[in-house]
Amino acid sequence: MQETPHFDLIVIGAGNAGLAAALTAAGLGKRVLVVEKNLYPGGSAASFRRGRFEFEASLHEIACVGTPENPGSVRKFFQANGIRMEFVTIPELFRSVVTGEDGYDVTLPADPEKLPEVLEQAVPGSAAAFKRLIRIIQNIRKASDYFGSGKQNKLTAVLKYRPFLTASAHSLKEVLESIGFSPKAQSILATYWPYLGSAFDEVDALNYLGMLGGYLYTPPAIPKHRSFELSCAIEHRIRELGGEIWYNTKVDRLEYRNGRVCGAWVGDRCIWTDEVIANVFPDIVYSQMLPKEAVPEQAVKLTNARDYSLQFYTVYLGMNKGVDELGVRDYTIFINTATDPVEQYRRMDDPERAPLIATFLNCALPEATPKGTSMAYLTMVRPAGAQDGIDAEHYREWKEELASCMIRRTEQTLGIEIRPAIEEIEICTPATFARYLGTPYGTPYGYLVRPWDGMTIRMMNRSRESFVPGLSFVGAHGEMGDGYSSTYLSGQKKALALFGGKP
Amino acid sequence: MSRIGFQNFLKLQPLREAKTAEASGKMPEMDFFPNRLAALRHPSRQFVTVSRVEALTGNMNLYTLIPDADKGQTQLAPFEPGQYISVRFEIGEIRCSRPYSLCGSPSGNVYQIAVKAIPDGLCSVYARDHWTVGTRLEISAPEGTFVFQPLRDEKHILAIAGGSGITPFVSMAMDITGRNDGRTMTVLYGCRTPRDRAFGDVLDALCSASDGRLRTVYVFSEESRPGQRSGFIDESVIRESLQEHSSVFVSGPRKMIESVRGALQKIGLERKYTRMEVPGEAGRLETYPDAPGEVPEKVTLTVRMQGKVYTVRADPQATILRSLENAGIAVVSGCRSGVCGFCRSSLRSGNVFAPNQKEHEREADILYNQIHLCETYPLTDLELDVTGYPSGKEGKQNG
Ligand SMILES: Cc1cc2nc3c(=O)[nH]c(=O)nc-3n(C[C@H](O)[C@H](O)[C@H](O)COP(=O)(O)OP(=O)(O)OC[C@H]3O[C@@H](n4cnc5c(N)ncnc54)[C@H](O)[C@@H]3O)c2cc1C
Ligand code: FES
Repeated sequence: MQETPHFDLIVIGAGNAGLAAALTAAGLGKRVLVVEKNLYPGGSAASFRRGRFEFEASLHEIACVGTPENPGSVRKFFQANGIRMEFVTIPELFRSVVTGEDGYDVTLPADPEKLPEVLEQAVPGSAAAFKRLIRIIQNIRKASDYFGSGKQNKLTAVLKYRPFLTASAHSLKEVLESIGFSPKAQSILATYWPYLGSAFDEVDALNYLGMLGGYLYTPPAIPKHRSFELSCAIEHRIRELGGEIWYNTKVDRLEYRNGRVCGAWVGDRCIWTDEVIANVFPDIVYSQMLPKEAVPEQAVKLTNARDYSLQFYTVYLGMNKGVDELGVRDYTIFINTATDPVEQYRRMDDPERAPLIATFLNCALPEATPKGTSMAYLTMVRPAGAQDGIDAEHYREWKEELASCMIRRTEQTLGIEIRPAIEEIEICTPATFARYLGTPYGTPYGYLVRPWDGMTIRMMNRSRESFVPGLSFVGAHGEMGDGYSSTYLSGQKKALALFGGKP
Repeated sequence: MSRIGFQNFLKLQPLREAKTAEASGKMPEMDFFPNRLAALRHPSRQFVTVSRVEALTGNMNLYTLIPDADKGQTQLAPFEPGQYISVRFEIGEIRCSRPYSLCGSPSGNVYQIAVKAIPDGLCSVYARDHWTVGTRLEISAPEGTFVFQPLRDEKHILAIAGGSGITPFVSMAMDITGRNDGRTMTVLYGCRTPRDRAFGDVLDALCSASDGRLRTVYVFSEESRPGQRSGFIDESVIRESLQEHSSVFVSGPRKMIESVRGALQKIGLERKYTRMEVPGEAGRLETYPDAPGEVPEKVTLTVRMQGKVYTVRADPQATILRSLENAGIAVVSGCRSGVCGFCRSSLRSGNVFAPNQKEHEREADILYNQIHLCETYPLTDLELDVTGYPSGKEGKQNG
């Protein structure tokens, strides 16, 4: 039997960020091993089959894809690594429906030219504020390139990138208010907040507006064969480049010697390595994989100071009717019950009033299911630790009740009939996500982002907060926060930082 | 911008430091309810002991399995009626697994499986000859989606069973008769003779205590007597048992599932109302009408599994999974029917025959040359990346 070689890099977890790190390092000629406890790559970026349907596990839309002529960071990442990927562009940002008295129903185009018109129609008098918003977004986009380049100068930062610094330091609510949007316009523009997990008055404007800009200037897109296509493509390329991927394998603990992580234990084998990148929450690694003396108190304090982001509930539906027959046109529909996003955040406690996102895949990708059928995902988000009032014994009844509530709310809001068309159904709760992702409460989002723990401040503390030599972290809990584009970038940047090379 | 400004940026670092300073320095417990529930419901493996062996009719034995406390197992994962477990076998050199439906009541900390010894079988015969009270087994968590779903299914279930395919329905019948939630069930059970009716007495007892919620109809293929139905389960027998709103569940041997599928199509039942249990072990290559006629007698499989490389001489008539298992390579498997995807592997080079790829695999898997080993046959020498069970000693349970 062959001896296991010494690796340059062991990546724990084949989620988006883990795969991106491994791919980048393998592309730089490093010996890479990815260790994954599941039987497939991708973590959240996966799909599963039921009957004649293949369900998307997590993806609504990817930011920063762009077009071949105007590629965003995600498209560039795949191109740079020799992966050809066909994306399907989504023409709308979203349809946002708020039920109730002062509710509204607005569909925003993913086009910075057309959007102001639509917004003006929905909320007369928004045009001037929108111009200001665009200037901030453009400044953020330029600044991200500047700050990402690594050679900053304080004076330039203050002179040229004030809006960027301001957006880093304030909540989205503060920024939208200050540039003169009415409460309704604020509400419409803040519709995406469940994608970031933090409340309207907590999320740092930089994070949110960076994402909004990503969707506006490089239109949102999805791959043709569910997000699993992205995962399979990277898996394939890593192996082509000589990297190894071991599935059904769990890293139990890390080997720590002479003040440095130098190996990973799987079963009774220690695999030696120069670097470990964990696509795993720091608190899990600190408390379960390292000896006490390896973890400084400051590291523990930082993770304890943070809160976990949202927990998820998703109902996957395969229906024996097409979208035309059902009467839906829109790919992504946000369903809320309060116009004020702060109030809406509070309502996450109540499944009858919590935010709901309905995605009808066939509206973007007609051939995703056989003729005369279609597929939809209903997603509800709630704060981590929200009590579901269930015990293990009544889990099944509870989750069916919850799914039926989500289906009924979607039916009522959109005026359509879903229930009689259900041919396949799968209901995922925080326990399901916890099973596949292993994250606290199954959250796919990392820690809550807020000004004191937003993107910029996390980056500024990068070296100060690298607590354990030989060990780095990538993923939704990393510098850039959650989302496909952020996590791919998170992995790519970390590998480049460790092994040199340019993006 | 009014009221807000970039100056605030300067406050962020001190704020971060203050937030960190005031946080607890105690290592977090990392104990979360959804994660605990996930570990309870989906342990990566379970250890059980056989506590009872009972002979059933039709060459079947009923095994009761209880948690193996010596291996740290105290609680078994809960299951839904219709699910199966995968049992691992070590028979001489061979390392393999077989799926068995859980046929007992879903409440209680025990599992029951019924294993039919098939004449040329490997594992089923081994179980019959070697499993006794006290035998220790390693099994999977409950798996499979052949379960009743109230948001999808009709209130009346027509369960069509052939031979040992009755097992999931025994558990479903116990569940339905124990609940009184408006569901009813008709079991249409095809077997050779009345003496081959495994679980016949259990079903009859459930029936008579069910207030009409459970009905059984037996169809005997090798015996005909007045007052009994004989022959095979065909269109007309099914029509008689269908109610206006029924969901049909079918479980049995491959041939029987195919013929019932045909009958249901003739009746015009939509897919929404029909569920087929996965059929189990694929046969020899030559049993597929569209299989290539001429194949080499032997091919060489080079497989990488968690960092180790093995070379195996294989018979193209057998699935890749079987050839690897026969060589002592413990590859992960679940349904062994192409459906669950547990045996997903990367094909680096070579040609294969994969008859049901389009129906069973994910689109991206097909695009990137991933195959399900349990339903794929090698046509040339192959290079593969496969996944084995975790290495090492006993290991902790739960993922
Ligand atoms: C979801 C599910 C639930 C099940 N539940 C039950 C249950 O409750 N009770 C029960 O008794 N069984 C059940 N089965 C079937 C069971 O899993 C086993 O298949 C059965 O025990 C036979 O295993 P064996 O090793 O004895 O037979 P095997 O040796 O695997 O033989 C099985 C078949 O494969 C053929 N075969 C043998 N060698 C080859 C070869 N080299 N190449 C190709 N074909 C070959 C044989 O001719 C035979 O037809 C279930 C199957 C599934 C998929
Ligand atoms: S074992 Fe289920 S697909 Fe092969």
